[in-house]
Amino acid sequence: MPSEISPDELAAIVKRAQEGSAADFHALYELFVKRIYNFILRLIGSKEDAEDLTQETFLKVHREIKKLRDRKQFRYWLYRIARNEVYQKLRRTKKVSEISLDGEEGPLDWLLADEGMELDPERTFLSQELNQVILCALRSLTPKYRDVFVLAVFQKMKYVEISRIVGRSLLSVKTDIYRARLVVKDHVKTYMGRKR
Amino acid sequence: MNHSCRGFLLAISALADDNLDAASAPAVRAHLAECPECNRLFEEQRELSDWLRAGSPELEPSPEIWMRIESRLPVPRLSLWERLGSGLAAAVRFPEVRYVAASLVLLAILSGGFMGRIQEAQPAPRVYAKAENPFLVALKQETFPSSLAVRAEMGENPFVMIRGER
Repeated sequence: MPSEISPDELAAIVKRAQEGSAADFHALYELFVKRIYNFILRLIGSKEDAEDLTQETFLKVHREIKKLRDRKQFRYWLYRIARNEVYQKLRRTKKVSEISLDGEEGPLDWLLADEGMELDPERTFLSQELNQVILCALRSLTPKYRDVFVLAVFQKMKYVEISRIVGRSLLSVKTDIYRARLVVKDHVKTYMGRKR
Repeated sequence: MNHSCRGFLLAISALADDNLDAASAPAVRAHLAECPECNRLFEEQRELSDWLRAGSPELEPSPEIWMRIESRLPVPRLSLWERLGSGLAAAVRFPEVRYVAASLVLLAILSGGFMGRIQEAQPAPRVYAKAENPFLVALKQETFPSSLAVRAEMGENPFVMIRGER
Protein backbone atom coordinates (compact mmCIF):
# COMPACT_ATOMS: atom_id res chain seq x y z
CA MET A 1 0.00 0.00 0.00
CA PRO A 2 1.26 3.49 -0.63
CA SER A 3 3.05 4.43 2.56
CA GLU A 4 1.84 8.02 2.60
CA ILE A 5 -1.70 7.08 3.57
CA SER A 6 -2.89 5.42 6.76
CA PRO A 7 -5.54 2.66 6.80
CA ASP A 8 -8.00 5.07 8.44
CA GLU A 9 -7.43 7.71 5.78
CA LEU A 10 -7.86 5.10 3.10
CA ALA A 11 -11.10 3.88 4.71
CA ALA A 12 -12.37 7.48 4.75
CA ILE A 13 -11.61 7.89 1.04
CA VAL A 14 -13.33 4.58 0.29
CA LYS A 15 -16.37 5.70 2.30
CA ARG A 16 -16.67 8.92 0.31
CA ALA A 17 -16.20 7.01 -2.95
CA GLN A 18 -19.00 4.67 -1.86
CA GLU A 19 -21.18 7.71 -1.33
CA GLY A 20 -20.59 8.69 -4.94
CA SER A 21 -17.68 11.12 -4.71
CA ALA A 22 -15.97 11.14 -8.11
CA ALA A 23 -12.95 12.96 -6.67
CA ASP A 24 -12.42 10.24 -4.08
CA PHE A 25 -12.75 7.48 -6.65
CA HIS A 26 -10.07 9.27 -8.64
CA ALA A 27 -7.95 9.49 -5.49
CA LEU A 28 -8.23 5.72 -5.07
CA TYR A 29 -7.21 5.28 -8.68
CA GLU A 30 -4.17 7.50 -8.21
CA LEU A 31 -3.17 5.66 -5.06
CA PHE A 32 -3.29 2.19 -6.55
CA VAL A 33 -3.03 2.35 -10.32
CA LYS A 34 0.73 1.89 -10.55
CA ARG A 35 0.80 -1.16 -8.29
CA ILE A 36 -2.22 -2.75 -9.90
CA TYR A 37 -0.94 -2.08 -13.40
CA ASN A 38 2.46 -3.63 -12.62
CA PHE A 39 0.85 -6.57 -10.85
CA ILE A 40 -1.31 -7.27 -13.89
CA LEU A 41 1.58 -6.67 -16.28
CA ARG A 42 3.71 -9.30 -14.58
CA LEU A 43 0.90 -11.80 -14.58
CA ILE A 44 -0.17 -11.29 -18.16
CA GLY A 45 3.08 -10.20 -19.84
CA SER A 46 1.59 -7.74 -22.33
CA LYS A 47 1.56 -4.00 -21.86
CA GLU A 48 -1.56 -3.53 -23.94
CA ASP A 49 -3.49 -6.23 -22.09
CA ALA A 50 -2.28 -4.84 -18.77
CA GLU A 51 -3.69 -1.42 -19.66
CA ASP A 52 -7.03 -2.91 -20.70
CA LEU A 53 -7.27 -5.04 -17.59
CA THR A 54 -6.28 -2.17 -15.31
CA GLN A 55 -9.08 -0.17 -16.89
CA GLU A 56 -11.57 -3.01 -16.42
CA THR A 57 -10.43 -3.50 -12.83
CA PHE A 58 -11.11 0.10 -11.86
CA LEU A 59 -14.40 0.18 -13.73
CA LYS A 60 -15.47 -2.86 -11.77
CA VAL A 61 -14.32 -1.20 -8.56
CA HIS A 62 -16.51 1.77 -9.45
CA ARG A 63 -19.52 -0.45 -10.11
CA GLU A 64 -19.11 -2.63 -7.03
CA ILE A 65 -17.60 -0.37 -4.40
CA LYS A 66 -20.92 0.18 -2.64
CA LYS A 67 -21.04 -3.55 -1.88
CA LEU A 68 -17.75 -3.47 0.02
CA ARG A 69 -18.66 -3.65 3.71
CA ASP A 70 -15.27 -3.59 5.43
CA ARG A 71 -13.59 -0.51 3.98
CA LYS A 72 -10.25 -1.45 5.52
CA GLN A 73 -10.23 -4.50 3.24
CA PHE A 74 -10.33 -2.30 0.14
CA ARG A 75 -6.77 -3.06 -0.90
CA TYR A 76 -7.21 -6.84 -0.84
CA TRP A 77 -10.56 -6.52 -2.54
CA LEU A 78 -8.97 -4.43 -5.30
CA TYR A 79 -6.20 -6.97 -5.86
CA ARG A 80 -8.74 -9.78 -5.94
CA ILE A 81 -10.66 -7.97 -8.67
CA ALA A 82 -7.45 -7.39 -10.65
CA ARG A 83 -6.45 -11.03 -10.26
CA ASN A 84 -9.89 -12.24 -11.36
CA GLU A 85 -9.73 -9.99 -14.41
CA VAL A 86 -6.37 -11.52 -15.34
CA TYR A 87 -7.64 -15.06 -14.84
CA GLN A 88 -10.72 -14.36 -16.94
CA LYS A 89 -8.54 -12.95 -19.68
CA LEU A 90 -6.20 -15.93 -19.53
CA ARG A 91 -9.15 -18.28 -19.72
CA ARG A 92 -10.60 -16.39 -22.66
CA THR A 93 -7.38 -16.49 -24.60
CA LYS A 94 -6.52 -19.98 -23.38
CA LYS A 95 -3.13 -18.81 -22.35
CA VAL A 96 -3.24 -20.88 -19.20
CA SER A 97 -2.51 -23.99 -21.21
CA GLU A 98 -0.09 -22.25 -23.49
CA ILE A 99 2.52 -21.12 -21.01
CA SER A 100 5.73 -20.97 -22.93
CA LEU A 101 8.78 -22.43 -21.33
CA ASP A 102 11.25 -21.12 -23.83
CA GLY A 103 9.90 -17.60 -23.83
CA GLU A 104 9.97 -17.33 -27.58
CA GLU A 105 6.31 -16.48 -27.95
CA GLY A 106 4.01 -13.85 -26.54
CA PRO A 107 4.15 -10.07 -26.54
CA LEU A 108 7.31 -8.63 -25.12
CA ASP A 109 6.60 -4.99 -25.80
CA TRP A 110 6.87 -4.01 -22.16
CA LEU A 111 10.46 -5.16 -22.08
CA LEU A 112 11.38 -1.71 -23.22
CA ALA A 113 10.91 -0.50 -19.69
CA ASP A 114 13.27 2.38 -20.23
CA GLU A 115 11.70 3.64 -23.39
CA GLY A 116 11.70 7.19 -22.01
CA MET A 117 15.35 7.00 -21.08
CA GLU A 118 18.29 7.30 -23.35
CA LEU A 119 20.47 4.26 -22.86
CA ASP A 120 23.40 3.25 -24.92
CA PRO A 121 22.61 0.34 -27.26
CA GLU A 122 24.53 -2.20 -25.22
CA ARG A 123 22.76 -1.31 -21.98
CA THR A 124 19.42 -1.31 -23.73
CA PHE A 125 20.14 -4.75 -25.10
CA LEU A 126 21.19 -6.07 -21.67
CA SER A 127 18.18 -4.51 -20.00
CA GLN A 128 15.85 -6.08 -22.53
CA GLU A 129 17.57 -9.41 -22.26
CA LEU A 130 17.32 -9.34 -18.48
CA ASN A 131 13.67 -8.44 -18.66
CA GLN A 132 13.08 -11.23 -21.10
CA VAL A 133 14.70 -13.74 -18.78
CA ILE A 134 12.53 -12.53 -15.91
CA LEU A 135 9.41 -12.67 -18.02
CA CYS A 136 10.24 -16.17 -19.18
CA ALA A 137 10.91 -17.19 -15.60
CA LEU A 138 7.50 -15.84 -14.59
CA ARG A 139 5.86 -17.53 -17.55
CA SER A 140 7.33 -20.81 -16.47
CA LEU A 141 5.24 -20.62 -13.31
CA THR A 142 1.67 -21.85 -13.16
CA PRO A 143 -0.82 -19.05 -12.43
CA LYS A 144 -1.22 -20.41 -8.90
CA TYR A 145 2.47 -19.87 -8.20
CA ARG A 146 2.86 -16.80 -10.35
CA ASP A 147 0.44 -14.50 -8.52
CA VAL A 148 1.79 -15.27 -5.04
CA PHE A 149 5.36 -14.96 -6.25
CA VAL A 150 4.71 -11.60 -7.95
CA LEU A 151 2.94 -10.29 -4.86
CA ALA A 152 5.74 -11.42 -2.55
CA VAL A 153 8.79 -10.53 -4.59
CA PHE A 154 7.78 -7.64 -6.85
CA GLN A 155 5.05 -6.04 -4.75
CA LYS A 156 6.82 -6.87 -1.46
CA MET A 157 3.61 -7.79 0.28
CA LYS A 158 3.33 -9.59 3.57
CA TYR A 159 2.41 -13.26 3.29
CA VAL A 160 -0.67 -12.65 5.45
CA GLU A 161 -1.88 -10.03 2.98
CA ILE A 162 -1.19 -12.35 0.05
CA SER A 163 -3.18 -15.07 1.74
CA ARG A 164 -6.15 -12.68 2.02
CA ILE A 165 -5.90 -11.77 -1.65
CA VAL A 166 -5.61 -15.26 -3.06
CA GLY A 167 -7.93 -16.84 -0.50
CA ARG A 168 -5.55 -19.60 0.50
CA SER A 169 -4.05 -20.49 3.86
CA LEU A 170 -0.85 -18.87 5.04
CA LEU A 171 0.96 -22.21 4.91
CA SER A 172 -0.20 -22.78 1.35
CA VAL A 173 1.03 -19.33 0.36
CA LYS A 174 4.43 -19.91 1.99
CA THR A 175 4.80 -23.26 0.27
CA ASP A 176 3.77 -21.90 -3.14
CA ILE A 177 6.20 -19.00 -2.89
CA TYR A 178 9.00 -21.34 -1.91
CA ARG A 179 8.27 -23.66 -4.84
CA ALA A 180 7.90 -20.74 -7.24
CA ARG A 181 11.26 -19.43 -6.11
CA LEU A 182 12.91 -22.76 -6.89
CA VAL A 183 11.43 -22.79 -10.41
CA VAL A 184 12.50 -19.20 -11.07
CA LYS A 185 15.96 -19.88 -9.68
CA ASP A 186 16.39 -22.85 -12.02
CA HIS A 187 15.31 -20.73 -14.93
CA VAL A 188 17.71 -17.94 -14.10
CA LYS A 189 20.53 -20.43 -13.49
CA THR A 190 19.96 -21.95 -16.92
CA TYR A 191 20.15 -18.49 -18.43
CA MET A 192 23.32 -17.66 -16.51
CA GLY A 193 24.83 -20.99 -17.55
CA ARG A 194 24.11 -20.22 -21.19
CA LYS A 195 25.72 -16.81 -20.82
CA ARG A 196 28.98 -18.25 -19.51
CA MET B 1 21.68 -30.30 4.15
CA ASN B 2 20.57 -32.53 6.99
CA HIS B 3 17.11 -33.52 8.17
CA SER B 4 16.71 -30.56 10.51
CA CYS B 5 17.55 -28.16 7.67
CA ARG B 6 14.44 -29.27 5.75
CA GLY B 7 12.29 -27.85 8.51
CA PHE B 8 13.76 -24.42 7.82
CA LEU B 9 13.24 -24.27 4.05
CA LEU B 10 9.95 -22.36 4.12
CA ALA B 11 11.23 -20.06 6.84
CA ILE B 12 14.38 -19.28 4.84
CA SER B 13 12.26 -18.42 1.83
CA ALA B 14 10.07 -16.20 4.00
CA LEU B 15 13.13 -14.53 5.51
CA ALA B 16 14.42 -13.75 2.02
CA ASP B 17 11.19 -11.80 1.46
CA ASP B 18 11.39 -10.13 4.91
CA ASN B 19 8.28 -12.06 5.71
CA LEU B 20 9.31 -14.15 8.64
CA ASP B 21 7.13 -13.80 11.74
CA ALA B 22 8.83 -12.41 14.80
CA ALA B 23 8.30 -15.62 16.79
CA SER B 24 10.21 -17.82 14.32
CA ALA B 25 12.96 -15.36 13.43
CA PRO B 26 15.40 -16.06 16.32
CA ALA B 27 15.41 -19.83 15.73
CA VAL B 28 15.92 -19.40 11.97
CA ARG B 29 18.70 -16.88 12.41
CA ALA B 30 20.40 -19.16 14.94
CA HIS B 31 20.23 -22.02 12.46
CA LEU B 32 21.63 -19.86 9.66
CA ALA B 33 24.51 -18.84 11.89
CA GLU B 34 25.55 -22.47 12.41
CA CYS B 35 24.63 -23.99 9.01
CA PRO B 36 26.68 -22.62 6.09
CA GLU B 37 24.62 -24.53 3.54
CA CYS B 38 21.33 -23.01 4.67
CA ASN B 39 22.97 -19.62 4.96
CA ARG B 40 24.16 -19.91 1.36
CA LEU B 41 20.63 -20.92 0.33
CA PHE B 42 19.23 -17.88 2.14
CA GLU B 43 21.74 -15.54 0.50
CA GLU B 44 20.96 -17.03 -2.92
CA GLN B 45 17.25 -16.54 -2.45
CA ARG B 46 17.64 -12.99 -1.28
CA GLU B 47 19.96 -12.17 -4.17
CA LEU B 48 17.47 -13.69 -6.58
CA SER B 49 14.66 -11.46 -5.25
CA ASP B 50 16.88 -8.37 -5.43
CA TRP B 51 18.03 -9.32 -8.91
CA LEU B 52 14.46 -9.81 -10.13
CA ARG B 53 13.31 -6.47 -8.73
CA ALA B 54 16.33 -4.61 -10.08
CA GLY B 55 16.04 -6.24 -13.49
CA SER B 56 12.36 -5.49 -13.89
CA PRO B 57 11.51 -2.11 -12.37
CA GLU B 58 7.92 -0.97 -12.11
CA LEU B 59 6.55 0.84 -15.14
CA GLU B 60 4.45 3.97 -15.10
CA PRO B 61 0.94 3.29 -16.34
CA SER B 62 -0.23 5.36 -19.27
CA PRO B 63 -2.38 8.42 -18.42
CA GLU B 64 -4.75 7.21 -21.13
CA ILE B 65 -6.01 4.50 -18.78
CA TRP B 66 -7.75 7.08 -16.61
CA MET B 67 -9.10 8.93 -19.64
CA ARG B 68 -10.62 5.70 -20.90
CA ILE B 69 -12.08 4.91 -17.49
CA GLU B 70 -13.51 8.39 -17.10
CA SER B 71 -15.19 8.22 -20.49
CA ARG B 72 -17.01 5.05 -19.39
CA LEU B 73 -18.12 6.21 -15.95
CA PRO B 74 -21.86 6.88 -15.66
CA VAL B 75 -22.81 10.55 -15.42
CA PRO B 76 -24.14 11.09 -11.89
CA ARG B 77 -27.79 12.20 -11.61
CA LEU B 78 -28.11 14.79 -8.89
CA SER B 79 -31.25 15.46 -6.93
CA LEU B 80 -32.61 19.03 -6.65
CA TRP B 81 -31.05 19.43 -3.21
CA GLU B 82 -27.69 18.12 -4.40
CA ARG B 83 -27.79 20.54 -7.32
CA LEU B 84 -28.66 23.39 -4.98
CA GLY B 85 -25.91 22.27 -2.63
CA SER B 86 -23.31 22.08 -5.37
CA GLY B 87 -24.49 25.45 -6.66
CA LEU B 88 -24.03 26.98 -3.23
CA ALA B 89 -20.66 25.31 -2.86
CA ALA B 90 -19.61 26.73 -6.22
CA ALA B 91 -20.88 30.15 -5.16
CA VAL B 92 -18.77 29.99 -2.04
CA ARG B 93 -15.69 28.95 -3.97
CA PHE B 94 -16.03 31.16 -7.02
CA PRO B 95 -17.11 34.83 -6.60
CA GLU B 96 -18.07 34.99 -10.29
CA VAL B 97 -20.86 32.50 -9.63
CA ARG B 98 -22.18 34.72 -6.86
CA TYR B 99 -22.27 37.75 -9.16
CA VAL B 100 -24.04 35.80 -11.88
CA ALA B 101 -26.57 34.42 -9.39
CA ALA B 102 -27.21 37.87 -7.91
CA SER B 103 -27.69 39.31 -11.40
CA LEU B 104 -30.17 36.55 -12.25
CA VAL B 105 -32.16 37.16 -9.05
CA LEU B 106 -32.23 40.91 -9.71
CA LEU B 107 -33.34 40.28 -13.28
CA ALA B 108 -36.11 37.98 -12.06
CA ILE B 109 -37.37 40.60 -9.58
CA LEU B 110 -37.33 43.37 -12.16
CA SER B 111 -39.03 41.28 -14.83
CA GLY B 112 -41.62 40.17 -12.23
CA GLY B 113 -42.52 43.83 -11.47
CA PHE B 114 -42.71 44.65 -15.15
CA MET B 115 -45.06 41.71 -15.82
CA GLY B 116 -47.20 42.82 -12.85
CA ARG B 117 -47.57 46.26 -14.38
CA ILE B 118 -48.57 44.79 -17.74
CA GLN B 119 -51.21 42.68 -16.01
CA GLU B 120 -52.51 45.71 -14.09
CA ALA B 121 -52.91 47.65 -17.33
CA GLN B 122 -55.24 45.03 -18.82
CA PRO B 123 -58.94 45.09 -17.72
CA ALA B 124 -59.80 42.16 -15.56
CA PRO B 125 -62.29 39.74 -17.15
CA ARG B 126 -65.73 40.06 -15.61
CA VAL B 127 -66.57 37.18 -13.35
CA TYR B 128 -70.14 36.53 -12.30
CA ALA B 129 -71.10 34.95 -9.07
CA LYS B 130 -73.21 31.91 -9.73
CA ALA B 131 -76.38 33.57 -8.43
CA GLU B 132 -75.85 36.75 -10.50
CA ASN B 133 -75.28 35.01 -13.79
CA PRO B 134 -78.12 36.37 -15.97
CA PHE B 135 -78.38 33.21 -17.96
CA LEU B 136 -78.81 31.04 -14.91
CA VAL B 137 -81.25 33.47 -13.32
CA ALA B 138 -83.30 33.39 -16.49
CA LEU B 139 -83.17 29.64 -16.59
CA LYS B 140 -84.37 29.33 -12.98
CA GLN B 141 -87.08 32.00 -13.00
CA GLU B 142 -88.65 31.52 -16.36
CA THR B 143 -90.19 28.69 -18.24
CA PHE B 144 -88.07 26.58 -20.47
CA PRO B 145 -89.00 28.06 -23.87
CA SER B 146 -88.73 31.70 -22.68
CA SER B 147 -85.37 30.99 -21.09
CA LEU B 148 -84.28 29.75 -24.44
CA ALA B 149 -85.46 32.97 -25.92
CA VAL B 150 -83.59 35.01 -23.32
CA ARG B 151 -80.44 33.19 -24.04
CA ALA B 152 -80.95 33.56 -27.71
CA GLU B 153 -81.48 37.33 -27.21
CA MET B 154 -78.28 37.55 -25.22
CA GLY B 155 -76.41 36.05 -28.13
CA GLU B 156 -75.87 32.71 -26.42
CA ASN B 157 -76.52 29.33 -27.95
CA PRO B 158 -79.78 28.34 -26.15
CA PHE B 159 -79.22 24.63 -26.81
CA VAL B 160 -76.03 24.43 -24.87
CA MET B 161 -76.96 23.19 -21.41
CA ILE B 162 -75.16 24.39 -18.38
CA ARG B 163 -74.20 21.31 -16.46
CA GLY B 164 -75.94 20.73 -13.15
CA GLU B 165 -78.22 23.74 -13.30
CA ARG B 166 -81.55 22.14 -14.13
